[in-house]
Amino acid sequence: MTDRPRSVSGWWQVLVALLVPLNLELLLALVTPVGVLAERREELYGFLSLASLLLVLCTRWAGWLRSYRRALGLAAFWYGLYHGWLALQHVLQGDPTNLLFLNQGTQASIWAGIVALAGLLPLTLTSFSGAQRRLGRAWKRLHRLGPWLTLLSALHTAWAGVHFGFVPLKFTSLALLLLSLGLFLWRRRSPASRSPSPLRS
Amino acid sequence: MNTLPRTLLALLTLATPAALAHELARDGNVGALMHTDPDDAPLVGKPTGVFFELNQKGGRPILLSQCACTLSVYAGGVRAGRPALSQGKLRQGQGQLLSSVLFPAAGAYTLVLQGRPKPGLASGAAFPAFKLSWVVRADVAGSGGMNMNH
Repeated sequence: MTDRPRSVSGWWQVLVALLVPLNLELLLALVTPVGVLAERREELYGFLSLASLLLVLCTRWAGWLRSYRRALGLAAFWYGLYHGWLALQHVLQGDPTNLLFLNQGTQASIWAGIVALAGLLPLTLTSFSGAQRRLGRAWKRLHRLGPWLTLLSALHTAWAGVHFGFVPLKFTSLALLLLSLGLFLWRRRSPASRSPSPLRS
Repeated sequence: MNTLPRTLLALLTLATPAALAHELARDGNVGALMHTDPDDAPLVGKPTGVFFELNQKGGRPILLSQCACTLSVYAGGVRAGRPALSQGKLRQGQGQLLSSVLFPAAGAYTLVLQGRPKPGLASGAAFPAFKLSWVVRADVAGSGGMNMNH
């Protein structure tokens, strides 16, 4: 018998995709100095985009995540687009030509991010069943770009650098968030959590 | 997924460095990205590390050996006739100019980095004189940061 992934309603997935960044924004507002909040928000959406792309890859091994794959891919694109817009507003101060005043390494890292985002656009536009049917084999070829675009996004992040700050409150918050997420995922996955308790009759 | 991108992804995760710099100011053909420690939120009464990634348009770095650069710190905004609170001593770091600045009280400060080519600089490395400024807010608990309305 095949273990079919449970289907989750599209609205529920949209709600989760909105609530996760809103919660993280709230946390960010609590722990980040006001003057750098805009820049940290920009970084947050970059991380969310990369995390979504990495979770899409995880669906290879975590079958129960498979029903979220499309939502994760779409979320990665929209988070990435918002990240790019925030970076343009707050790092380049709304002027794309300011990119030319960054050092060549940073410029290259930003181009890697731009190419990754541009590459995600056709995947996003063809991420519905109608496009999958119409494109046939070409759809599969196109969507095989996904792992490479994930790699390019990771390269962009690593190259541009992460800026989190070694502040205990932030690390504690992040550790607690990851622990909560881990417990939530473990509970969902654990067979014990799905079968009825032997204590209940 | 192929093994190659998966392996490269794992390596990238291990090799991610700290971010370099953040807010950009430009004047003509010269621009610089500034970052202050800690975490772009300077503290009052403690020496604050300030980093400038100074480049010509196109990304060619301007080194301290090529530039007669000065860093001035003003309390509040820059006003004609009002002297700078202090002058930061600049030194060359890896791909950036470094300085250490002391903010004596909570509030807004303006950092002005200006420079011109050193005499005798080869024409290929020459750059126009520039004046770049950033407004920084120092706070006791590090709850300040940069004000982007400069």
